Formats: sequence, C-alpha cells, structure tokens
Amino acid sequence: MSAATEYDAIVIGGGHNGLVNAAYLAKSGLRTLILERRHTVGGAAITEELRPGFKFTTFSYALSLLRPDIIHDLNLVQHGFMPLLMPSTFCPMENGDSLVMGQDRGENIKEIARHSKHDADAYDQYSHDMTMVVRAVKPLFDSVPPNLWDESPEGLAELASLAKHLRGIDKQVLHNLVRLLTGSAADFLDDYFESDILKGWLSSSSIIGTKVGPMSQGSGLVLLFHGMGEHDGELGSWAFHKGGNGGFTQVLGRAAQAFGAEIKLNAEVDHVITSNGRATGVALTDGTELHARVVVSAADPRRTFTKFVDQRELPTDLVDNLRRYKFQGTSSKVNFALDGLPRYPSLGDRTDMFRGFTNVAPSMEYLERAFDEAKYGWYSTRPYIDGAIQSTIDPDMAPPGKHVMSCFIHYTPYHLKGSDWTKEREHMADNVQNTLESFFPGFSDLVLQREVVTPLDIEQVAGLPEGNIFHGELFGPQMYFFRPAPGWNQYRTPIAGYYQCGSGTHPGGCVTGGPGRLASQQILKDLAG
Amino acid sequence: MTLRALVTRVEVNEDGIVFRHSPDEYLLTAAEPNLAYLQNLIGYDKVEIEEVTEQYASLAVQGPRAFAVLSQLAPEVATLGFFEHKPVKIGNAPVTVSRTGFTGDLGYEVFCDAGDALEVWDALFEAGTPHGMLPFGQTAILMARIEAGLVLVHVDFDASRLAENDEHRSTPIELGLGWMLNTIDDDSRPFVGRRAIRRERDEGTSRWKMMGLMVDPYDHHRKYTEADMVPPKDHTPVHEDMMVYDDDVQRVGYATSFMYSPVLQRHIALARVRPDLAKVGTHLNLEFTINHRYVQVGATVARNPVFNPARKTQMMGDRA
Repeated sequence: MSAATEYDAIVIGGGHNGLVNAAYLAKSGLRTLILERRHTVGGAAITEELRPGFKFTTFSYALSLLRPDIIHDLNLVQHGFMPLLMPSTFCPMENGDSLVMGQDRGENIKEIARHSKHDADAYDQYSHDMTMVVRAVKPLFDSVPPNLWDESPEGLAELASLAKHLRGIDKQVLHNLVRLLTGSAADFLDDYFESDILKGWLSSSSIIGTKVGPMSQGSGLVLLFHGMGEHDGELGSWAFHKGGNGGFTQVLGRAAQAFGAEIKLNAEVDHVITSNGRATGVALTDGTELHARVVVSAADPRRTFTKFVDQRELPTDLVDNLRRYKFQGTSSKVNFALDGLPRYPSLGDRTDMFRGFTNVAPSMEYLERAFDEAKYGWYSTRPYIDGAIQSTIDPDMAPPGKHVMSCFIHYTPYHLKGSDWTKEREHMADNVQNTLESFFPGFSDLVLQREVVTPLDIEQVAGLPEGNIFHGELFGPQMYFFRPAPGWNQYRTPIAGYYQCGSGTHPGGCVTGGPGRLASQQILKDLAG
Repeated sequence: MTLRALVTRVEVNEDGIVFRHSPDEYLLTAAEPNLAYLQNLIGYDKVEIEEVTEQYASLAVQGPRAFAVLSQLAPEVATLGFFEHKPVKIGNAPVTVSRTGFTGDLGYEVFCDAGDALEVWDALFEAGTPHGMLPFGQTAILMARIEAGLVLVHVDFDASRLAENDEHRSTPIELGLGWMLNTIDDDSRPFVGRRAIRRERDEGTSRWKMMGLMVDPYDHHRKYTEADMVPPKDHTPVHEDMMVYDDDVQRVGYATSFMYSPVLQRHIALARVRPDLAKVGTHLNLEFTINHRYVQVGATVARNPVFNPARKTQMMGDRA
C-alpha cells in the first residue's frame, strides 16, 4: 500500500459517539471514514425486529442526556430526529397502591400528597435544588476538562478558568454538588423526603448502570449524572426516539453521511497502524489497510489502549490505571413482545400510565436489598426494573393492539460466583418475569416472546467490556480529571494522531454524544495548531 | 372612511371551508356566527342560507395513522385527495368524510348527524385504539396548527368587519391566503372584492406578509443563560403579540403565535413582517421578555408551513 493518506480521519466504531464525532469532523471538511464491526451502525443503541412487526430496543432504550447543541449543530431534525415525550412515570407498590406522575403539576402534587403531604412540597424544593446544581455543572459537563498535570500556559489557563467557575457557584449549590459527588443518594434524598415510594422512584436514577446501591457512597454522583438530561428544556425528563434508539442512531448516520462521512459496515479493526509513535491508519481483520492522519477510537478504554495498540507503546502508569479501571457491568435487559397491555389491579382498566416509564422500585430498601445479592456475586431475586412499553407512544414499534416492553434490569453482575451467564440467563429472566407477574397479575399470559440480554451478551454483541453500559463505571476516580485515566482526559492518547471519543471519556456514558462532540473539538484544535 | 376601505382593500372576516355537496348544495364551516352577514350579501340571488350547526357533529381524525384507522371503517377514503370529500358509512351512520383538518398532517374530518355522534365516536375508537389513537384537546390542535402555518381568527387576525381600526384588518394576501385567489384573473368568476385584490397584488400595497419565524436556538440559549435562567422550551402556544425588529432595532413586524415546536426542536412563530423583509432566510429579531426585561433574540424568516410532511397531501390509494 502506498503511503498516500486516503482519509483525513478514521473513526473506529459506529456507535452514537463515533457517529457524532465523525459527523463533526466531516462537517469541518475532513474526509472521514467510520468503520463499524457489525452490519449496522448504532453500537449499543440499536432497534431490531426480532419478531415480525415487533421492534426491540435490544440495549439502550430512551433519550435524555443527548447534548442539545448536537441536535442543531448536526441538523438532526432534517434527518428525522424525533424524540417523543414520555408523559408519565408509573411506580407500582408492593401493597397494591402506586405513584403515577404525569404532566399536570396540580395532579402531581395531589398524587404525591396521597403518599405524604410533606413530600408534595419537598418535591418542588428538591427539583429546584437539583436544577441549581445541574446548572452549575453543565458548563463543565459540556466542555473539554482541564488536564491537571498540563503545565503549559494553555493548560494553566484552563485550570484557572475552572477555578473561576467553581468560585462563582453559590455556596449552598456548591455544597449540594459536593454532597452528590461524594455521598449516597439515600443520604441526599432522606434530607427531603419521607415517603418510600417517592424515594424509591427518585433513587432509581442513582443506580442505573452502576454497581452501587442507593445507600452506597457514589450513588449520589449517578443520581446527579442522570439529572443532567432533559427533554425539551425540562431537566431530568426522558423521551423515546421514534423507532427506538436505533432510530436515533440511524438519524446520526444519515447526518454524518450528509456532511460527507463514509460508513463502512462489517469492517472490524484489528489494530491501529503506527509509525514513529504516530498513528497512520488502521488494519482490518481481513487484512485491509486504510490510512489517515487522524484515527479516533469510539471503543471503550480497554479496547482503545490494549487491543488496538501495543500496550508496550504506552506509559506504564496509563497501563496500570487501565488495569484498575472498573467495568463490572451490572445491568441486563429483558425485552418482551406482549399480546396486549398489562393491568394493575388497583387502577382497573386504566392503561395510560404505561406511556412513560414503569419503575419497579417501591422503596430504597427494595433497591438496596436487590443490590445486596449483587455484592456477593449473584443477581437479584426481586430486581429493579425500569420498564417502558414503547409501543404506547410509538405505535410503529409493534403491530396494532400488540406491544413491546423494554425492561432494564438491576442487579445482574457480570461475574457470577460459582456459575456463569450461559447457565443463569433464563433463571434471571424468570426472576424478572415473576416480579412483573407479582405486580401485574396475568403478565406472563401476555408474553409472546422474551429477549434476554445479560452482561455477557452486552459484551459479546455490543462489544462493551464486562457489559458495562457506560464504558466503565461512573465512579469519582473514573470521572472528569481521571476519565479514563489521570492525564489522559482530553481525548488524546500517548500516540500522536490517535484519539479516543467513546463513553469511557468525559462526560461519560449514556446516549449523550458529549464525548464524540468534545473529542472532535480537541482533534480540530490540534489539527489547526 | 368606510367607503374608502371598501374600495381600496378586501378584508378577511373569517377562515372556513366550503364543501360542495352538489351543484346547488354547499356546506360552509365557520368558527364564528356569520349568518346575518352572509344573508345580507344574497341580494336578489336565488340562494338560501341555513344555519345547521346543531344538526351536525364533526370529528377530526388526524395524524400519521389517520388513514390506517379510518380505512378500516370506510375503505373508500383511500381515493380521497387533499381537500376532497365523499359520503360513506361508518357502521350504520351515513357520514361525510373530508381530507381536511387543522393539524397540517395527514388527516380527515368526519361529519355526521348529531344523533349519530356517539356511534361514530365508538366505532372510530374501537378501530383506532390498537393504533394508539387518543382523543386530543384544544392545546394539541393549537400547537399543531402553528407548525402547519394555519392562521386562527382572534389570534393571528381579527374579523375585519368587527375591527376597531385598520390595524386590526387584514387582506387575504397579507394573511398568506393569496393562493386561494389564483383564478382571480378569470373574469367569468366574479366575487366581492375581486378588483381590490387585483389592485393590491398589482400595486404591491400589502402592508404585511404572514411568515414563519425560526428562532436561533444558540442565541436563545445564550440570552437566557446570560440572564441566569434555564432556557425554557414550553410547548404551550403563546397568543400574545411579540415584536419583530430588524438589526437596526426598527420594528418591522409582530408575531401573533409563538411556541416551542417539539417536532422541529426550535422555537417558532407565525409573524407579520414587512413585505420587503419577508424573503425566506432573512435575519430578524424577535422580542422576548426575560427577567422582566425586553430582550431580542435572533430569528430567521421561514416559509409556512414550517412543518409539512408529504403524507399530508399524498394519495393513500389507487384512484383507478
């Protein structure tokens, strides 16, 4: 192969961050190629028709944290971007009662007051306090973090700017921020609320995707992280993309192509080609070599640093830190094709509450007990379930009258003590189905098909190590200055021209697009410099 | 003064639809009482006008699945073109189905005898529920019609015959309804005010042009963030005047309807702008009230409707 550069940039991985990154690079005029190992773009944000007419969101299932600038910067609406509001949250309770939160503030107050008059007011205070913290964090969430160890004038200026921002934050807001970043969700929520169902619901966001219980320190950070999202300006609110998150990544793919990026499917990268400490292209597993002056890995830190390149080319401290980097995926999906909508006995024939999340977490204690089993290497007998019957708001997801239900499951640790997921997958799914049956009698009779996605499946199909949906835990030591490793938080790597843009970089996991966007800014800055 | 107004301009009173049921039978829909006004226009013509509001019920079946739902009950709707109508049956009830609506999407309106309304409702919901069909209320239609660029009496314009002054009167061209008048040069089709409309068109005397405005999302975000606020993205339509300025802070128009469009992910408005600034893409500024102060946010002139899905007018079935 000649040394001529065929592309300006090659992005490894057509997940949502790879697509976002490539779209920005292409928009800026770089000849950009996206290499996707599988037959479709989307990574862990795909929609699959596993049964005629029934579309399953195999992995990722809803949108909230997508950075709003991306929608406009990449003209996503023009390519079919259509987030559909999930107008309610339904929390069933073990005593047969429930909490149903909707769009009408007055009704919500009455509904909370049914459980606790105190909490009806506390909810407004909590929402306000969280909003103030989210506002304070947002500028940091949406910019390239400073490198603490960069002593160049530019690096020091970045640090000074951070210090200035922190100094500008109101005392109480900053204190709440630190409480969330370092403490448990339980401690934070206990300060506001007395009712179990409200705390069960709100603390669910403190465990998603992470091996913590709501009473673990560190769960506050996950709670705050999920509060960074919004739907149409409403902070912390969620939407379902038309056609599922696979529909969303198809939109991203079209946007990237519209800017001139090429997408090559079924193209698995074997390694990054380097020459004199500089990336010059990639070699595919079929032997094809492709050349570019910039190579960007949208994969997780483990593959980025230990699979695609020779770790002997990397500094020892980076390799050591990556060895300590925690994946330990704890989530599964169990997705159902349903013959009709379930019924909740105390709500009679009412089904409108299924138009948003069905949150099976009657109390923080329920979640903590579910976590207890995970601590000792087993999956929850009564798991946390984040259910969404997406066909209620997007009828194209299932045939008329039928439904698909996505269930996100906690806790199902990747490493099982004394067994493995090939043996346990159906037992785990039975626990899920039995739990649903206990809240929704007759649920099992509605099940036409069940798709079980364990952490092992997430690893093997989507490629995420140990099935961690965030490309690594959202733990303090793995965030901001340290994501994925101290000194390597600015999307660069020790190999010149080789960059990272996956969820293992700042700001982290979830369908945010943040890593892809911020990495593109860094790449373009370096190219210009 | 009144005379001058009459001879120089034609002014809009209302916006309705005329359904031609036979060469000598028509149905006019209107949002306001107009009977006396119309009867006064009859003169010596052999026309009878009857107010039938209470005899009819109408249901709007609107949205991407409207055809899938309605065609289960009345397969004949497959051959209905945009703005066409035909008599069909829903259950045992004779109805008229028209390919019309106020949402700007694929949709139909079903007119039936008031006594059959519940039967028709039940049949429609039995067919529609598996498709996720829901009853929709006024806020939903008021949102959809802004995206659809459909002007609303008492909001985007006033009934000219009841207006207090010229500022509150509009011509069809000023309201963006000029497309309805494309046979105006056909002398065999006379109607009230034809010469005045021709003159307005030929002499370019329109004061305003009704356009869409797309608010610049970056500027909107910036102005609210500077004001120490989370930028609101409220879907609820605002039906108050918001002033429109050029970059020299000269007032060049006003918006009459405003909202955050969930479909377009942008704040949008229906606005009257000076005709010389109505070119699509022109940069203007829309005045918001932020922290109790007037703040101008950049916006771009757009063609109405700002959301116009192909399915709105597509033929659903084979005409042959």
